[in-house]
Amino acid sequence: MAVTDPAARPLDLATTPTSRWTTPRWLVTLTRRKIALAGAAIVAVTIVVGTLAPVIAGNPTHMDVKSRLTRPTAVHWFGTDDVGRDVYSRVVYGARLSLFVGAAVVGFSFFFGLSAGLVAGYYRVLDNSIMRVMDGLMAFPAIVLAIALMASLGPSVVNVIVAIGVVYTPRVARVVRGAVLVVRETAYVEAARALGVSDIGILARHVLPNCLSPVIVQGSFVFAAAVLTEAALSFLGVGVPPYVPSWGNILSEGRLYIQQAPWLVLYPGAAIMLTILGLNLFGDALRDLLDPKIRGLQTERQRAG
Amino acid sequence: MKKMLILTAVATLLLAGIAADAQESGRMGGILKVATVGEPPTLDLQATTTTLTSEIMWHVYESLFTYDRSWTPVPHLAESHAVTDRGLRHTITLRRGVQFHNGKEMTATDVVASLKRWGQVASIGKVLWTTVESIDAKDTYTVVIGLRQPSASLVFGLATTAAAVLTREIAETAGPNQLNEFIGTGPYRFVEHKADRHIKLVRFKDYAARPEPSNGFAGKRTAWLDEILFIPVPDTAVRLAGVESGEYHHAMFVKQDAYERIRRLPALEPRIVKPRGWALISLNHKAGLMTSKPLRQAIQAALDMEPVMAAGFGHKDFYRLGPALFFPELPWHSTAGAQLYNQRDKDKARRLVKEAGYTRQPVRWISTQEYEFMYKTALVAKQQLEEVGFVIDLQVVDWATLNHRVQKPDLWEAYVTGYPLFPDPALHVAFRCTFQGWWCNEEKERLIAEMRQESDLKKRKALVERVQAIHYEDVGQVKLGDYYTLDAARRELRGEFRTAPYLYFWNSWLAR
Repeated sequence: MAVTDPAARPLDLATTPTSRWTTPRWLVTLTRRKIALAGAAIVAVTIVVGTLAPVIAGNPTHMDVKSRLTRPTAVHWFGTDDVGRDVYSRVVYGARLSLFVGAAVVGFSFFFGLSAGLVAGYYRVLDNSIMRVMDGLMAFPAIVLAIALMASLGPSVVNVIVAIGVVYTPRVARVVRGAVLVVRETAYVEAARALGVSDIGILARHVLPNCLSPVIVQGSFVFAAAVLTEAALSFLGVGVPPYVPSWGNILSEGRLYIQQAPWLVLYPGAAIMLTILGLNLFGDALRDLLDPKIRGLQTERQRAG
Repeated sequence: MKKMLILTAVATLLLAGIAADAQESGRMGGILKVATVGEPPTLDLQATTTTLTSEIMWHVYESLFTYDRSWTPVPHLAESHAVTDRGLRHTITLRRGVQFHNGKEMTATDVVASLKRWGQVASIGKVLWTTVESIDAKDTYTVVIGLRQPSASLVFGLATTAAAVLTREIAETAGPNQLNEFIGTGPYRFVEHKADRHIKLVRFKDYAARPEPSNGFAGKRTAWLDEILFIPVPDTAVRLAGVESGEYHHAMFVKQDAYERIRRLPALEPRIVKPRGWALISLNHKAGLMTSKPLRQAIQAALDMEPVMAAGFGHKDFYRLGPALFFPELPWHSTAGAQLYNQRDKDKARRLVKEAGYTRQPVRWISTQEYEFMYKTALVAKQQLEEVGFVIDLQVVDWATLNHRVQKPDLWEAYVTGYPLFPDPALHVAFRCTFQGWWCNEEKERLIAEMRQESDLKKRKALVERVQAIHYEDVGQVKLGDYYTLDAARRELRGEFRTAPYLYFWNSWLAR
């Protein structure tokens, strides 16, 4: 892209047009925002659907074996599965489970990741020991570590949250530590220390708030990864128990019928794809908004392009 | 007279011609690739009841007797068999010139050592060995078995695949431990087992076949194929895709729902294994909730078998409902207890639950998705039982864990399984007090003991009927229904390769 204005900020809608290139740049910005908006909209729809599941869908575990494997109809919008359960209800309840798992994993990894990252970044003595443990955890591919944890914990929703939470904690911890390392050297932290503010006070009032923006961005990606990992674990049969409606479970059972009853994999597959897409777009937009470095980088890239 | 003779000769020739036309002759050669459901837990045929092990290893090993098409035991490695001394003495004469794969001739000492080990390690062997007083090699080709009491079940037991004849050295060296050398007398010899890759058998050139035409498992066995590879392919969709693409010639256990599709594919032939077995809920009689008879009766009263079986086996051509514990294909078929099967009586079930004083303790129900019917039938049964007040704690684990857990009475209340065809009712696993589920009933034990001794078919049948009635009254286990399974074979694989429910590849060949 032949954009030249070095002062331009992609998100800076208020930029006054100064050259003949203004219109495309403005368009690019708007498009990016539109995509972000679309992402947010998908996430919002998923949240609404998940929350209202008991209102907008039937019983996801009720079996009507006589009408097994029926095509999508007016009664069963997404068809039925091999024991006659309504796929629409299962997909809707699956959204509820996915969101719950995603949110809980974010909570879990934030709690442990933030604590570990803050301590490691602030107290240099502990840095090595904490971060090497985190590196150790990160050395395993995410899904393999999660499978190993599930194998030892046994299948249940809580265990899935713990397993995925453990896997993504180091990713949060790393980001936090990096941010803390920068913030702790700043003048205002020095000043607070000189004034005799306690370590906890400094961490809580000065360090933490200034580390939050990268962590929030990371949170959106952890959320997406958690939804995907849950689906993968359930698909592989080591996630939530198979009778719990989850996208991974529906896919896993439907896989055996892919040639006869493609609707069994189509809808949960599409649900996973859209949700992850939405979350990632939304996360990208958040990053653009919150991270000045990336903003700068994009400008650089634009200049180079 | 002369005319008659000529006419007869012409007729015979004509008939022979028709027969030859109908039965195309085999072709020597080729490597057969069979996709199996997975790795067999062991290759020690004597020590396991796993069907997969039998279906692979009985190409390598043979027994003294085997079953013909009507499930009657007939001599196989044995030449003849005589019972004397009021049923207490079985004299078995062996066939001469039968060679082991190591080149040695099979003699009575090999048989004695093999059967001793069988009595020590095999589940049916152990049951039968309690009545055996002595087993001796009278001469090179004669084995004499002395009994404490007459046993009609002995020959049935000797016809099972587990009663395989090994060489004396191997049988004595292994003892109760696992075999690690596989030398038998069968039409194929064992070459190698590469874990997760294949089990390879090749034709045994010096195989001594019986002269009679084949009949069920009995009679002449011909090894047309150069080699048989049993390849573990745990995923059912992959097995079907593999046989479709020509990678395998035969796929065991493909999904019943794929039946219509296989029928439409010109290169494939659907093979319905009818009957494969009967599905049931095994209840724990030794510990826990199901020691209560009213509670067991409540389960039996509540269930509606049609949806349960439909969920478990899919296509309607692959299951049938009925109370019989022995298939109509067997002489022991009976409908005793029919009024207690498939009752669908929710009110009665609720009454029984109340009578049992059940206070919503969770019923621990173990299941696995590796055998899909075990999970799907449990899922539907769970819904039906919860409607009458049960709380079902469905624990879905892997197959190995399930097998491990059900051995321990403290860990479970119920699990779904399938029992295969048992030619001898007195040896049926459903009536075995020592088998997991531990259904012991005084009257039943007495009748079974009587049945083991009784060789008169009519009297045996009457005993089977009485045992079946007790089975329903006392709820030994809850029978769900008979099921069939589906194998897919490529059309170039010819010859009879299955007498339901067991698979074998002697007498089958690959056409060009």
